[in-house]
Amino acid sequence: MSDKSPSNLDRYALIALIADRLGEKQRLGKKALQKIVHLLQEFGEVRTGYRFSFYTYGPYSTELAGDLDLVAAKGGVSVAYNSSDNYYLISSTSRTKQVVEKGESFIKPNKTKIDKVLDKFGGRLAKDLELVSTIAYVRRYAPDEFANDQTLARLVKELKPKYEDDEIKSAMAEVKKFLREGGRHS
Amino acid sequence: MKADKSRRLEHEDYSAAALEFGLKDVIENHPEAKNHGIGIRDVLSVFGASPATAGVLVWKDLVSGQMDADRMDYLLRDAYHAGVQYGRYDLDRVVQTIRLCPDPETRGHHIGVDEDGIHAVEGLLIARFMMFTQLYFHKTRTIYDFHLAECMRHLLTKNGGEFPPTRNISKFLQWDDWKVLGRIAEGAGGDHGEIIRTRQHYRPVFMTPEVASDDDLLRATELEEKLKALGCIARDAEKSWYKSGPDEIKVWRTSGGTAKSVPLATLSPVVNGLTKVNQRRLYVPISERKAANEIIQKNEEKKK
Repeated sequence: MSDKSPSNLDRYALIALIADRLGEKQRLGKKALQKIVHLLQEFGEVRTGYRFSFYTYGPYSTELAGDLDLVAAKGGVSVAYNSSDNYYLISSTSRTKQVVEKGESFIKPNKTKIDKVLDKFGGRLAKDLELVSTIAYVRRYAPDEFANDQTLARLVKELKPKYEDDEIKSAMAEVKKFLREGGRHS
Repeated sequence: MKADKSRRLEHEDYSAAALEFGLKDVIENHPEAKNHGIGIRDVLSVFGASPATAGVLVWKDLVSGQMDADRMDYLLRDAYHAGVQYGRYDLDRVVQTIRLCPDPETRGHHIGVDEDGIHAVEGLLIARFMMFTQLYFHKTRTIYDFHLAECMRHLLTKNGGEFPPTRNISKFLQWDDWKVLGRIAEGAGGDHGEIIRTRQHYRPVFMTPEVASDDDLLRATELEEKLKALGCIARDAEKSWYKSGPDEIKVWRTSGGTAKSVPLATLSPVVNGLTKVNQRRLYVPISERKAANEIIQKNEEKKK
C-alpha cells in the first residue's frame, strides 16, 4: 500500500473510473458506489483516504458523498434521480475519461487492485454489496469476531437482520476465499 | 468486542472511553435510564459496529447524522459566541417536523422530515453552508488548526507526539484547555506554540475559488511544490458540510394516496444547488510571505 495520501483529483478520478466501469449497465447507485469504494479500501487495500462509519445501510463515508456531488457538479459523472424507482443512477459522461486522466498518478499504480475488486464485486446489487461491506467493516473493527465463522455470522445477522442465514454464510465464505486468493490474511 | 489495535484511534474512540470512564455510574443509576432499560453498553454502541449497535442504528442518525443534535446545537452556539448571524435557523420547526420513516428495505425505520418541514430544513442547511464558508473555514481560523496540531505534537513529545491511548483515558482527559493554554503561555509549546502565543500565524498566499475546478487544483499543487522550500503548507476545505450522514435527508412524502421517503434534494432546488466547497489554500510563515508572493508572480508571468 502506498503511503502517499490521494489528492482531491485522485479521489475524483477514482469515482469517475468506477462510474465508467460500472455505470449504467450495472445500475450503479449512490449506495453501491459507497460499498464499492469501501471494499476497494478494505479488501483491495487501495488507500482512498475516505473514513467510513457504520449506519443503517452499512458503511458510509460523508466525504465520499461530498466528492460524488462535486464530480457530478463538474460534469465528470452524471447522477440522475429516477423518481419511479426512487433511486439515483450514476453513469459516465463525455468528461469522465478526462477526470480519470487527471488522477492517473494514483489510478495507475492501484490499477491491478482496483480491477480485482471491481471484477469480483462490481456487478452486484446494492443489497448484496451492503452485506459484503458489512463483513468488511467487522473485519476491520472486530478482527476476533471475523476470524471465527460462528461469531462473525452472529454479529453480521445482528447488525443486518434483513439477510437470511444462508445469504450471510455464503457471503462470508466468498469474502474469505477472495482474501485467501489475494494472498492476504483472512 | 475487542477493537483492532493496529488502527489509529479516532475521536469517537476517545468519546466512548470518556463516557465509560466518567458517566457510566450516572447513566446506569439514573432512574429514567433504568426505566427504559438503557445501560452504558447501549450508549457506547452508537460509536461502533457491535451486536448492540444493531438495535440503535436508527438513533445513530440523531447523534451522528445529517440532522444530528450536535450539529443543530453547535451551529447556534458557535454563531452566538462568534457574534455572527449566519448560523441561525428555525430549530423549533425542524424539531417539530422530524419523524421516523418506515423503511421497507431494512424492515426498520430511518430519521426523516415531514414534507411541510422542507423549508425549515433548507434553513438549517443554508446556515451550515454559511457557517462553514464564513467561520469554520475562515482563512485565519483554519491555519490555527495546523499551529495547534503542531504545538500539541511538541507538547506530547514524551509520548511520541500522540495523546495517551484510550486505556489511559484519565491521562488523556488531563489534556484540557487549561493545561494546553497554560503550557503555551509558559513558552513550552515549541515554535508553533510561540506562533499561537504571539499571533504570528502563517499567512495565505494563494487560494483557489471556493468551488475549485480541476485546473485550479492542479495550479495549487504546482505552486505548493514551488513554495515547499519556504515551509508552505496547504489546507483543504474537505469537510462535507451539508450532505453528511447516511445518504441525504429524507422527506416523508404522500402522493396519490401512498407515502414514501424521498431525498430532499429532489424536492428542494435550494439544497440541490448547494455544492461541496473544495477550496485549497496555501500558507507560508509570515517571514516568507514576500518571497512567496514573488515566486507566485514569476510563475504567473511565465504562464502568460
